Amino acid sequence: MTVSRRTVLKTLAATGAAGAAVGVAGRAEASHAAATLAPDAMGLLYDSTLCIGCQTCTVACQRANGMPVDKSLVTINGAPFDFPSDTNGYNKTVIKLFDSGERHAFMKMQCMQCVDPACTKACMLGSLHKVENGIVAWDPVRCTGCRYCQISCPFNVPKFQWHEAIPRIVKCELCRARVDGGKGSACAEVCPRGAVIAGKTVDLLATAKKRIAENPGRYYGEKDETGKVVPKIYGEHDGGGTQTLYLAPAGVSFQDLGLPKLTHEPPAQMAMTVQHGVYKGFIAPVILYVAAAVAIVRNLRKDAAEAHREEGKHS
Amino acid sequence: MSAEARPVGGRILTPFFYVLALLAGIMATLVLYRIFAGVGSITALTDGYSWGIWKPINVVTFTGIGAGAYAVGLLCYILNQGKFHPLVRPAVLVGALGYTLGGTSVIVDLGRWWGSVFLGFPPWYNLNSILLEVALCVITYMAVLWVEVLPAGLERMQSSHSPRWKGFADRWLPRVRRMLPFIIALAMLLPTMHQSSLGGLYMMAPTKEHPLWFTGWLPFLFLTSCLTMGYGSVVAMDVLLGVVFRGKYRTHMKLLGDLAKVCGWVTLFYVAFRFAALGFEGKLGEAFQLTGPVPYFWLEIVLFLVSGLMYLSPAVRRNRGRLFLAGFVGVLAGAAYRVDTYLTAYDPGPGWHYFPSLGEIFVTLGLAALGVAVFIVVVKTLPILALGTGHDAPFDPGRPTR
Amino acid sequence: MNQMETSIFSRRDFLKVCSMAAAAVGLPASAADKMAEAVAKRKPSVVWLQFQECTGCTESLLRTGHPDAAQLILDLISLDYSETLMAAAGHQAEAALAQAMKDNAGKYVLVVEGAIPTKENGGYCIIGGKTAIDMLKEVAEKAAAIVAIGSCASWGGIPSADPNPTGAVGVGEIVKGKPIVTIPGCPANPYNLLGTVLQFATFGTLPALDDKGRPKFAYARVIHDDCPRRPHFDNGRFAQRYGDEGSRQGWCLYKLGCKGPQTHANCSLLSFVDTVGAWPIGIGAQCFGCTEKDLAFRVPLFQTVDVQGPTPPAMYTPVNPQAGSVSPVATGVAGVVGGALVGAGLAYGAKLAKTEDASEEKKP
Repeated sequence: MTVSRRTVLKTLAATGAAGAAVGVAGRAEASHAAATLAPDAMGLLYDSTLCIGCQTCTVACQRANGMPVDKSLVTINGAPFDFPSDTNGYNKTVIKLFDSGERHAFMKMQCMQCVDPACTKACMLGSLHKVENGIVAWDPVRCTGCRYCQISCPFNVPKFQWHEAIPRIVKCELCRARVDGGKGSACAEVCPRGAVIAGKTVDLLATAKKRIAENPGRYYGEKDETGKVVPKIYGEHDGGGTQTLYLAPAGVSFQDLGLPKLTHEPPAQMAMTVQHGVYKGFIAPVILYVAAAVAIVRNLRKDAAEAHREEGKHS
Repeated sequence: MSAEARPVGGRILTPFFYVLALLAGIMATLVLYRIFAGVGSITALTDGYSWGIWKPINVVTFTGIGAGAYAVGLLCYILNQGKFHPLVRPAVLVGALGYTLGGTSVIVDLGRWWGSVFLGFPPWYNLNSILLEVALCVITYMAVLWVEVLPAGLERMQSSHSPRWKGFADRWLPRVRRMLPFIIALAMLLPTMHQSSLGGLYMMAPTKEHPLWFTGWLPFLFLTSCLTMGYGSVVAMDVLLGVVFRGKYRTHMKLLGDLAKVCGWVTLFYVAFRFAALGFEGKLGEAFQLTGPVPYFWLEIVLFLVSGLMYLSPAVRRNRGRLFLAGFVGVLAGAAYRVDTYLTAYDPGPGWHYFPSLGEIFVTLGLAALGVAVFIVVVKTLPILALGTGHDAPFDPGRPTR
Repeated sequence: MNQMETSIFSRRDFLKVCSMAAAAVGLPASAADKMAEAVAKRKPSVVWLQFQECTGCTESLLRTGHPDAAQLILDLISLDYSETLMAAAGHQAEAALAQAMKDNAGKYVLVVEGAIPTKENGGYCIIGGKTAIDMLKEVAEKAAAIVAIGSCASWGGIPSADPNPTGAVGVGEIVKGKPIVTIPGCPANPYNLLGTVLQFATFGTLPALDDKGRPKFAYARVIHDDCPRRPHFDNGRFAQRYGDEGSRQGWCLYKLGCKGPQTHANCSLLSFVDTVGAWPIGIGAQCFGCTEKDLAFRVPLFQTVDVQGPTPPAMYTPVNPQAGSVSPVATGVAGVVGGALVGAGLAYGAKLAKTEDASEEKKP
C-alpha cells in the first residue's frame, strides 16, 4: 500500500466530520422498528352506518380552521356542484357517497393520523411530524413543498394548494389549532347523529368493539384466519394502525368507501428497512469513500510513476 | 492529464443555437409565471399525481445522462483504466450540466422553494427521508462536478494574455489538481448513493406502484441502469461530436468499442437481474398479464436487450452509426425505466388522471435546450474535448492511447 | 239542520264555493260542477262524534277559509250531529242523532274526533249514559264511511300517552271490519278532512289510503321531504339551541330533535288557519311528530331521529371523483415532440451507419 497514513487520516477526518454533522438527530424518529399506538393518542371514530350525509362536519371543519372559501367550481356528471369533490387545499374533510345502485353508504374522508405514518418518514426536514397525542402536524417553516408526502401517503391525505404563490400542505390535524375559540375536533362536536366522535384511540376502539358486540350484523366484516367473517374496524391494524378508525355497514366494503387494502405493516416499513439497513450509522458511505480515495490516489501515483518511466525511456 | 484537450472554437450563434435559445426563453417565461401563480398554473399536476414528468425526465433522466461522468470515472479512476481519460472531461461537463438542469427543475417544482435553504441546516434533517439523502447528495455532487470542470477553465485562463488571470490560474490549477483525488472519490461515492436512492424513493409507495416495478431492489436497479445510461450517453455523444465537429474532433472508436463491451455486459446483467428479482419475489406472472402498464415493461426490456446485444456485436462496434444507435437506444431504455417507475407504473387510485400539460412539456424542452446550448458554448470556448491527432481512427485497433 | 235552499247565496257564489273547495282539496276543476250537482240533489249527512279529545280538530275546522265553516256547514254538507256546533242539547241532541241515523242509514259519513277509553269497561267517557265504545259501535254500524280525525281518533293520541291510564285507543281498535280513514295530526289539518269528505260527497269514493288508513294525498311523504328549511339541512346549517344564531337565522331544527324525517304529514304544504308558517317549524319549534303513534307523546322532544331511508341527492361527490385533466393538445404535442426526437435519433443513427458501411466498402 503506497498511500501515506496522512492521506488516510485526512480522508477519515473529512468524512467523520461530515458524518457527525449529518448524524445530529432533529426530528428523526426511531429508525425502522414499527411504532405502536400510544395510550394518549387521539383520533376519530367514523361509523358509516350512522352517517346521514348532512355534511355539517365539512362546514364546521371549514369554520373551525378558518379555511378560505373553496373557489374550485366542481362539476359532477356535468352539473355544477357547490361542494368540494374531495379534500383539497381548502377542505380538510369531506363527505363522499358510495352508491352502487343497490347499496349506498356515506364516507367521511380526512387524515388517518397513522400510528406509524409514511409522511413523517418521507418529509425531508420533518415538516410533517407527530406532536402531542400522536397528531400528525404540518410545520410551514420547514416545508419545501416537494410533495413527497403525497406520494408516500397510501390514503392520498396531504393536499396541496396548487395555485398559490405561497402554497401550503393541508390536512386534518384534529383541530389542534382552532380559530373559532372552540376546543377539540369540530366535526365530532357538530355531528347530529354521533356518526363521527373524537377521543383517545384506545377508547374509540373500545366503543367500536362494543357497537360490534351489540349488533354484529350491522357492520361489514372480513374473513379472519379461521375463515369466519368477523366485523372489522378499519385502522385497528391496517397500515400498522391508524388513530382514526372506521366502521362500514354490512355489505359495503372499506374499499367501496375508498380506503385502500393494507397489510398490518406500516407502508414505509420496507423502504425504511432497506434505507436504514444500507446507511446504518453512515458506515457504508464512509467506507466506500475511503476505499475510493485510496484506490484513486494509488492509481494516480501508479500512472505518474509509469509516465515517469516512459519519459525516462524516451529522453 | 489532458494535454490534448482544447476549445473547439467556431461560431456560437448558429441558427440551431437560436432555436435552443428560443426554447430556453419560453421555459424561463413559464418559470417566472409559475413563481407568482403557483405550480398548478403551468402544470397538470394534481394531489393524486403530485409529481409529473419533471421528476423522471428533468431530474432523473438528465442526471442519468449525466451519469457518464460517474460511469466512465469508475472505469478510469477506480479500475485504473486510464485509457478512457479523454472521454472523462466531456462526460463531466455533461454531468455538471445535467445535474444543474435537474437541480433547477427541482427548485421550479418545489412549492415552497425558499424552504430549501434549510437543506443546509443539519439539526432539521429527517434522517428517515430518502428524498433528503437524494437532495443533499445531488447538491453536493453538482458542486463536485463543477469543481471537476474547473481545471478546464483554469487551463484556459493560463493561456490568457492578461497577467492577472494567468497568475490566478497558475496559483490555483496545481492546488485544484492536488485536491482532485479526494474530489473524484466524492464523485464516485455520491452518485452511488443518490442514483440508487432516486429509485429508492418509490419504495415509499407500495400501494401505488405496480408490482412489476415495486421492489426492494429499486435502488440497485436504478444504480445499474444509470451506468448503462451513462455509458450510452458517452458513446452516443462522442459519435455525435465527431460528426458535428468534423475535422476538429475525432470519435474515439476504439475507446467506445471497449466501453461498449463493458456496457453490453452491464446491460444484460441488468435485464437478467430484473427478471431474477421478479422471480424471487414471485411476480413473474404479472409480466404476462398485458393490462395497464405491463406493455411498457416489455418495451423497456426490449430497449435494454436491443442496446445490450448491439453493444456486444463487433459489427456494431465497428460502425459509428450503429454504435450511436446502441448508445441512443441504451439511453432511451434507461429513460423509459425511469419514466415508467415514476409515472406509468404509478397509480394513486381510481379517478386520478394525468398527462403532462403544455407548460410542463415546454419547461422540459426548454431545460434540455438550455443544457445543450451551454454545452455548445463551453465546448467551443473551454478545453473540454480532446482534439488533435494521436487518436485511433476507425478500424485501427491497438494504437496506444495514452 | 235540514236541507236548506241555496237562496242565501246566488248560484254563482255557490259554484265559487264548490270550486274553492274542490281546489283546496286537490280535486279536479270538473269536480266543482259535480259537487254542485250532488249537493243540489241532497247534501251528504255527516255525524260528528267527540270522545276523549280537546276539540282542537273541530276548532281547526272552524278556521278554514276556503270553504269557510259557514259555507261548509250551510252549503256543502249537512252536519246532523256535532256536540260543539249544534244548537240542540240534552234530549234534543240525542233525538237529532237518532233521527239522522234513521233518515240516512247507510249513507251518512261518520267523523270521529277523540280517543276511546277502554279501561273500566269504557267508563272514562260516558255521553248520554252510553260509553264511548257503545256509542261508536252503534253509529259506525250504519255509516257509509268512517273518518277518524286527529291523532286521538286515529291511534289514541295524547290520552294514550304512557302510562295510558284510561286505555285510550283509536277508532280502528273499536270498529272492525269496516274501512276507516284516519287523518292524524294534533290538530289534524282541516283540509285533509275536507278533501276526503268532499270527495266522498261528490264522487262517492274515498281517496287512496296507505297501510294506516291515511289518505296518501296528504300523508305519503314525511315533513322532511317538503320542509321549507330543508336547504339548511342539506347544507349543514343547524340551530343548536333555542335563540342561538342558527335559530334566529331559521336554520334546520334537526339537531334540536325535529321529528320531521319520520313524520308523515303535509303541514308545510297546506297551511293551518290559512296562515303560511302557522305550524311548529314555521315558528321555529321542532316538529314533534304529532301524526305518528311511535313518536308523538312517546319520544322525547329533543331526541334526534334517524332520517328514514336517506336517499342521497342525485348530485353527491362520489368516493372516487374524476380528478386531473388530460389535455388533448398537450397529448398531441408530446406525441409529436417525443416521436420527433426519438425518430430523429434513430434516423440519424441509421443514416450514419449506412454512410459508414458505404465508406467501408469503398476502402480497398
